[in-house]
Amino acid sequence: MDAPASPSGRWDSLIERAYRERRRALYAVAFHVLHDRGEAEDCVHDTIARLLQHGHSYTEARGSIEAFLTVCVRNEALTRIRKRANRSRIERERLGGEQVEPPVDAPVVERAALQQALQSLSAPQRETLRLAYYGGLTHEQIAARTNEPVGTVKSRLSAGLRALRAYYLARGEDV
Amino acid sequence: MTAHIGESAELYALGALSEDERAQVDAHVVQCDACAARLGEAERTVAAMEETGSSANRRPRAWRFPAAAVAAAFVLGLVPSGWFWSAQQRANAYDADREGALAAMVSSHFSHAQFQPLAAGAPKAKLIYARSGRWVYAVAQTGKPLLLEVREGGKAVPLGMLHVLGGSAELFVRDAGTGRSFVLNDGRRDIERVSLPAR
Ligand SMILES: [Zn+2]
Repeated sequence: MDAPASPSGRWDSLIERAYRERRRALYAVAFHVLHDRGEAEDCVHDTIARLLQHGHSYTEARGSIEAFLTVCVRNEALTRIRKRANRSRIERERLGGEQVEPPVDAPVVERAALQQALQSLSAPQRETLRLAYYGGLTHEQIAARTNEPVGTVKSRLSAGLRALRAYYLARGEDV
Repeated sequence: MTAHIGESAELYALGALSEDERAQVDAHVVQCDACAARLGEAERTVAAMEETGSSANRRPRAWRFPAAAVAAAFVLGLVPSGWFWSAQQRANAYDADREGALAAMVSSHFSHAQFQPLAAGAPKAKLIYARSGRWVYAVAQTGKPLLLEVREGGKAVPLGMLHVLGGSAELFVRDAGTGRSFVLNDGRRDIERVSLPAR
């Protein structure tokens, strides 16, 4: 990340502490995307190392440092899996193999409690959010896949996530 | 100051932005508290989604058996089903996928069928499937990731990669459609197939 470094080392020490306390949960976040233990560990480690060495965009206005780290790790894991998918696509084309849709696209794994939360969304919001959250697709990939304008996809993702936040708040969870 | 990030806050938190787009958001939120606050809300929502979907924080060290190996052992008839369920219940965060499988299995009738090899070296694999419903749970005794596909009207529909855990691999698919012919593909060719009876 090329974000400007924080003005002081204050946030760095908070990040280090949050990492020490939450590393197993962060590992689980990476594993959900990568499904590979070694790579999940590397992903968490690299994310934290980069935040501390190259600066980060965390400020107090953002709030929870744990949530910030969760999203950093998830984004790093998604970057890795997208590169992996790209490599295998290039490799397949080079070898002239048959075209198979990238399996990373398949929104197949549902987790029961989260699924309940997703039921609170409109059907288009839910399907779009699934492609992002489970499928790991970018908004542009979702637009290409669903033949919807990029603007529509962005609005659905944004409104869908904000509706989920309302769902959690209504259940008394602190988000 | 650069433009406010607007909807990109939620997209950033969901992981739906490219690396370049993310860098633009990073550059803005260090200068704009309003956008940083919106981004923080989105991040906390995604963090809540992660926690809803995993039991990492509640049962940090409950890991005993790789659940896929347990499931495979059960399917291959190596352990009694009671042991399977209790082992499953001890499974932890890394088995979040299997919580879906577990919930589906507990609440419905299911059967299983063995994949038949189409190529030499095809690993032993089974498909557990809902007898009235659309979920399937593929388990293979292999350390290699395989792609599960369903054939529908002569067309191959990819369902996802089996997740490798130790010496076995598995995938739970909540809705595999109505197709009855499933294949495992190693990236180059179909290596085994199973056809389910009408369901
Ligand atoms: Zn702003």
